[in-house]
Amino acid sequence: MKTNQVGNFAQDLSEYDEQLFKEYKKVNPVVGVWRRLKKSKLAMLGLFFLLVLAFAAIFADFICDYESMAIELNIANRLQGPSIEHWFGTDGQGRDLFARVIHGARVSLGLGLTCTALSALLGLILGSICGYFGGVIDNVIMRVLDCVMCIPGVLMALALVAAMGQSTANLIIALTVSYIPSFTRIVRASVISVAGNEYVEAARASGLDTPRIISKYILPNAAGPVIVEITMNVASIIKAVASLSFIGLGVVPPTPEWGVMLSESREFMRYSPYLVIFPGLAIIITSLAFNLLGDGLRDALDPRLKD
Amino acid sequence: MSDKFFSIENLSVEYIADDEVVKAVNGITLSMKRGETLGLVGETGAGKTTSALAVMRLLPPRTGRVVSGSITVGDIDILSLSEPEMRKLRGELVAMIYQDPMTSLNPVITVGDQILEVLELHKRQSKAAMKARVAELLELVGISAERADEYPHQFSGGMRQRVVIAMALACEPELLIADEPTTALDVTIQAQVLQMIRELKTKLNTSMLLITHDLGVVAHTCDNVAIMYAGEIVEQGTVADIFNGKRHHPYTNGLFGSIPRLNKQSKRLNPIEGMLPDPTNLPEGCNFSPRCPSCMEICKIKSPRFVQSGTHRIACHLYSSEGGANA
Amino acid sequence: MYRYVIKRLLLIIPILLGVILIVFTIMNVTPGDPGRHMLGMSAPQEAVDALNETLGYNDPFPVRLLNYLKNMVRLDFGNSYRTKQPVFDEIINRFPVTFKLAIGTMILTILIGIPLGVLAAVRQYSKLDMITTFTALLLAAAPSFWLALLMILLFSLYLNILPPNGIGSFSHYIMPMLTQAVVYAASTLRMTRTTMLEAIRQDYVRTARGKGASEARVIWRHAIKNALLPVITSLGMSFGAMLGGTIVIEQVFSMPGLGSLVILAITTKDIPQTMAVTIFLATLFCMIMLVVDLLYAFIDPRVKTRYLQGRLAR
Repeated sequence: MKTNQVGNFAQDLSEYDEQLFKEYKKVNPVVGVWRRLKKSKLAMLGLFFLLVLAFAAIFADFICDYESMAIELNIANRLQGPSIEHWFGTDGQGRDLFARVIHGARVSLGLGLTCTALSALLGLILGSICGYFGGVIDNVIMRVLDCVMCIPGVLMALALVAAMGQSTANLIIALTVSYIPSFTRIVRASVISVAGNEYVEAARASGLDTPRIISKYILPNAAGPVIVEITMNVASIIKAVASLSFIGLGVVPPTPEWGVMLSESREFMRYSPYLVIFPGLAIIITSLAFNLLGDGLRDALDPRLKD
Repeated sequence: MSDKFFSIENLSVEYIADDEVVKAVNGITLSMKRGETLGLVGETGAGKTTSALAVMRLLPPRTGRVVSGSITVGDIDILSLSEPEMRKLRGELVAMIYQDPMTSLNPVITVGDQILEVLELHKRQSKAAMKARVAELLELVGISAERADEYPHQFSGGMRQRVVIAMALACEPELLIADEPTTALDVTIQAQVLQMIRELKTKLNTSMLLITHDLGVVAHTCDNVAIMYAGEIVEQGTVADIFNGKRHHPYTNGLFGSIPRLNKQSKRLNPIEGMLPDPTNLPEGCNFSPRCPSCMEICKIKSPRFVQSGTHRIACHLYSSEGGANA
Repeated sequence: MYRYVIKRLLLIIPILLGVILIVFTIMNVTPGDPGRHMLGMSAPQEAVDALNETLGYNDPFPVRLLNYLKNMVRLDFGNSYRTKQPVFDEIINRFPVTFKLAIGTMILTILIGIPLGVLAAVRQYSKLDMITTFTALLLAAAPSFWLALLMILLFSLYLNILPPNGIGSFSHYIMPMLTQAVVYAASTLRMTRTTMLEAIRQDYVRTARGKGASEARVIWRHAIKNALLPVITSLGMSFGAMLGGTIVIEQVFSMPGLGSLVILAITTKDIPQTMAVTIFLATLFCMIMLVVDLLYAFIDPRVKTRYLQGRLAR
């Protein structure tokens, strides 16, 4: 009787352990983050906006023809208020505002994502080097970035664009350069905090080479803050593009870019306020979408912050 | 009973997190007389700190709530007080020594001011009198009074714990709740701090609820002991009952089996296998049944009631009329 | 403490050298020359060359850089190519505009952002929290120049109560300050809320409650100091950026501040002017960050200890 009980107990225990183990294995980090992210209504709203914007950007040509609606002047038709035919009205040159806003999504998202991807990549490389090796390399890179950070605001981007001439490629370079320092700092900080951990020591002791330690052990653990920063930066870069274009140093007209459109609207804004409203709303929604998603990701990646 | 100074009746506490309900404390009942020390023992996550916070009414707002039960200190029903009334009692009638001295002190306020604050809140005294009292308290816990103007980061862990203790004793509370007061400390300092708490307690005739998972500390400090498992009390009695009694809850046996003894030749320790049950999903019947080496059929169906013999109470089917027959 | 401040001041020098090197390189090695800019497109090539020669623009790049640094040590930053006046004349003329704008914006930002952020955190999930947080989210997403346009539309064109541009009187500063403050206050609010939420969950806050402290005391005495540390850094950086002339806002409201000078100098390839503005702003930025760090020491004794030991925060 007694032995039987012990046997039952052992069996129960192993079942119990197995269950625990399964529970443990189930929590794949990506799945866990997504599960938590799904719970945030605001993050889902952000994701929804992003999907709509991405749809608009990808299928812009199918929605409205680029040449005939967004570019070609049609003076006879200028400054018409919103109507069934022109949902957002027409601008000072008689172009359909809706078509320009839709095509603007392509420009803004394209620039925002490209610049973010480039600066994140460079920041990731520089930050890992600084954080992992420390010492002289770290010092040199960080001091150079300190200098870049001391050059205020968009001055750097402005100087680069003005010096190299106004073109989309130069705009991308200029914005990428100005956003490298913040990425580098974040990656560096996360790498330093992770690199001190015992499991990294253990990996090093077991003879793994440096690039593999960085890519396999350090970067995945530093990914959280970087992902959040990436999301937030897209919004910030999209606004920077709009600002630069607004003051005439960014995207060149007649490209349908939201900042360009706002700049052109100033002349007519008294009697055609819709020209100011719609491109502005487009910027807000885009940057709001990225911010909401970023907030949601931050909470999902760091559940400690929640109640 | 009239000689009970502090009692908890059938207290249950839940945490609500992400639509999940965590049953942290499930109907515990405790009591102690004035001047007594009651040890609350159990592993991390058993609900000890939660019970203590419930007494202080410091459960995290929104997430933690008392589901049922009552808590009485003297003749005051703690749970029925309004928040301002409760505020008057905290620090004055009931004070708490917190578990982690590294995070329990505000890093940007001097230790002197942090002790002073308790007096400011409860005593109508002149500033000079209060300052003198702070100096006295610091000396009492073995810190030079000159250090009152220093900040927590200038103190070691043991010293900070002394500051926390000085803070708790500032108004000479009638009930002191010490939540693992020595866990974060070095062994040598542990002994010093415990000795100090004992002396102060005798001097002030304070009752103390000592929360710990260290049976050695219990043996030296407590009059009575309650063993807690998964939010329930499984065994309760005097120190003699628990340490010298013949019959024990299997969990208590497990606890004793998992500490090394110098006076006994043992080949190896016998840790309790498995883990605490998931508090969002407690097992049917006895909470300890999945880990219990003496588990019986009835244990998986029915939760056990207390079996009393003198001052010693055990909640286990092994000793109950229903289960005992089986064993 | 003094040792720390002096160390930090000395550290500004290499940073400034770095800044000078970066901007000087950008301005000098890229296409376009100042002679052409000054004389216009129709001027004969000989005249342009001659002018470039007198400006020293035809020397090799290292020589130009060395000359610039040499003059700089004698505090000679050169004359603007555009106005022919010493470069700092123009900076000193324009700085008050930017400074007033920045100070006003800063005050508004602090007055709106911090109290609302604290309130939102303290009453987390209340209606007040929902409304302020969502509004802040919206406003933080809005580009400031767009808010400026909307304000001009409303207050100048429709209601006609505020001047749309210029710097004549205080009323000229209201809209520029408001548009900037709204955006900065929104992000300050969000940040304060987050740090405050974190602070009120700390153990020492529970300790304070355990002493019998009231909720108000817990927040204003125990939580806020700890919560404000990161907010102060971000406010400091925003202030530094604002002093750099909020280029876009100055453009929208036609205000002759440093921001518009930056654009003017860069677009006309006015190298001495650009360099001077950059050096001025970078120095200012470094000083502000130093002040922020000293404020830190004032609030957080742990930081102060570090400074007293003369160690540099990193």
